[in-house]
Amino acid sequence: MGGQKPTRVTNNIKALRTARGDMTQAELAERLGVTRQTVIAIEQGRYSPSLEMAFQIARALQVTLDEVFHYPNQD
Amino acid sequence: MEERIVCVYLVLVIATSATYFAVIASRLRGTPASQVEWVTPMLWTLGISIVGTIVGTILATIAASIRQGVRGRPVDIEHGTDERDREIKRYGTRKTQAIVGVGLGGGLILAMIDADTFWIGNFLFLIGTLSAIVETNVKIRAYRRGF
Repeated sequence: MGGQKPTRVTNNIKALRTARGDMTQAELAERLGVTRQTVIAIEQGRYSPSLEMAFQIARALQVTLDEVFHYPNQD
Repeated sequence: MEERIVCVYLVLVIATSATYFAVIASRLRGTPASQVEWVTPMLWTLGISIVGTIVGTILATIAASIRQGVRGRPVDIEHGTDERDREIKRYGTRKTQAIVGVGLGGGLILAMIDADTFWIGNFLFLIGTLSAIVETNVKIRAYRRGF
């Protein structure tokens, strides 16, 4: 793998948590019903959540899905 | 929590299996395989792996919470499994399918050629050990680097 992230999907979760009054990873994890480690893995791009969880994250952060997750163009 | 269980299990599988194979190898010296007592040591190995994983995980969890307390962090002990844990579990199982397949085939061949139960039992145990080591390594890598 050589340090390359396993997914090309990037996200703004950390910035959006801060924008929502410094919501902690633990608080977001509790709202999503997952462990804090999973939230950390998603934030760091080590894990791509399911579509359903992606919608739940967007809802918890009160933004739309494409404000949270981004996928770069091929070129 | 799941990652901790996997780490403890990996250490125990390596330690107990290495001990088991060392004991069996020493018994095999100068004794025909059919006369080597292997069932009881194998049952002990399996039992210690299972009980050791439970006890080891509890101790590792206590140690982690003490470490957090010493560092002045709020104690944050997570339990249960979530979507990521389940996906990593499936991923780990998928990666060992080839080893399990070889094990099944090899076990069948040994039975077909009427090999002693010592060889059938120990071959299957070896396959189980290899499979567990590969699976836990794959899972730990997935937890730490993603997949």
